[in-house]
Amino acid sequence: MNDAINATAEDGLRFFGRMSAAISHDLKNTLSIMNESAGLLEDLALLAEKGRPLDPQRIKQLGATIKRQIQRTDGIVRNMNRFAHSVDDPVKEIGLAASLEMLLAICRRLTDARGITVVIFPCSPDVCVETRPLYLYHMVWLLLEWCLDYAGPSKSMELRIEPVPGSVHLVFKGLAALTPDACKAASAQRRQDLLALLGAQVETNAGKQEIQIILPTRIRT
Amino acid sequence: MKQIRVLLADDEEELVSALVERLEMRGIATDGVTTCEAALAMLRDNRYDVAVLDVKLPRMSGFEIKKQMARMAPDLKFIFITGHGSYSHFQEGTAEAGQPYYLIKPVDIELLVAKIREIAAAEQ
Repeated sequence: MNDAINATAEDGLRFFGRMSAAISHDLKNTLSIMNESAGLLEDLALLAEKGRPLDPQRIKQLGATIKRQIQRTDGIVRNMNRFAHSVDDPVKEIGLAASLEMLLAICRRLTDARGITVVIFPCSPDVCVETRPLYLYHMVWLLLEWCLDYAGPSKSMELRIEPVPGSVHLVFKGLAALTPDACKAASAQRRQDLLALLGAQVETNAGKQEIQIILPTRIRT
Repeated sequence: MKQIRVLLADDEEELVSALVERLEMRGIATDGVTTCEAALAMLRDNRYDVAVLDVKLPRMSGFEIKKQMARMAPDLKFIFITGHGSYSHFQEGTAEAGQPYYLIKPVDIELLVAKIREIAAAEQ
């Protein structure tokens, strides 16, 4: 039993590390753009000192680029902060739409690397669930990563949040390449440890090209 | 002195445009693209001395695109740039590119220029 708990914790730590690495990669990119834009401003100033006329439009453009990247960096850091705090309390009430949007933003580079767009369709008003946030993010990421292989030629998929009495369905739709055999294979590999911790279930439906997590709105602790 | 021609590929458009301009200012003729498909198309139509590639391009890693490019232009030399700073990625990169030609973002422009000149000279 202890081995099983340790394995889940170790795997959770690995997931946390992978997400942190994705965040650091995004930060490196925004820093690089600011670095090159600032460097270009410096280059243009040096050329101006040597008599080449300075184009005010170009300076404005570079200023706007730096501002845009500062805003982008701020968004990344906000998501990072929110993700980091997901481990503060083992069980916590979270707004699903905002939380999953944060997770998808962190994962975007990883999904982009596969050339796949994931669009989230929240419900209105947002659903709040009492759950284990880090385990939920881990479960969603594992399913999302699995789904990337079945996105089909459109290279896009949807994540829909659908509340039903007592639970919420997180539905990955648009899995055009999903086959009954893939569904069976997924059942065999399912992460029962995470599902048990979340009190959740996963259902696949090749006919409807979807897979869903059925998550209780209030976890039994 | 021979004009060095560089193909730069990174998925961050604003990074590419600024780097292209800065390299051009330093006398290096540079074309910039943001996708691996565009990089391969440019290589089909043009001759380059050095390709500067982001390790993580959408749909294809810089290492995968390197293999395709090397088949198309056997004399082409490569420099990888990456936002990853981990040791495992560094090892992977050095194995593929050779340690001197693997640069971590944010890249120092003078270091990049020096590496481009060095690798282009080694080719001759």
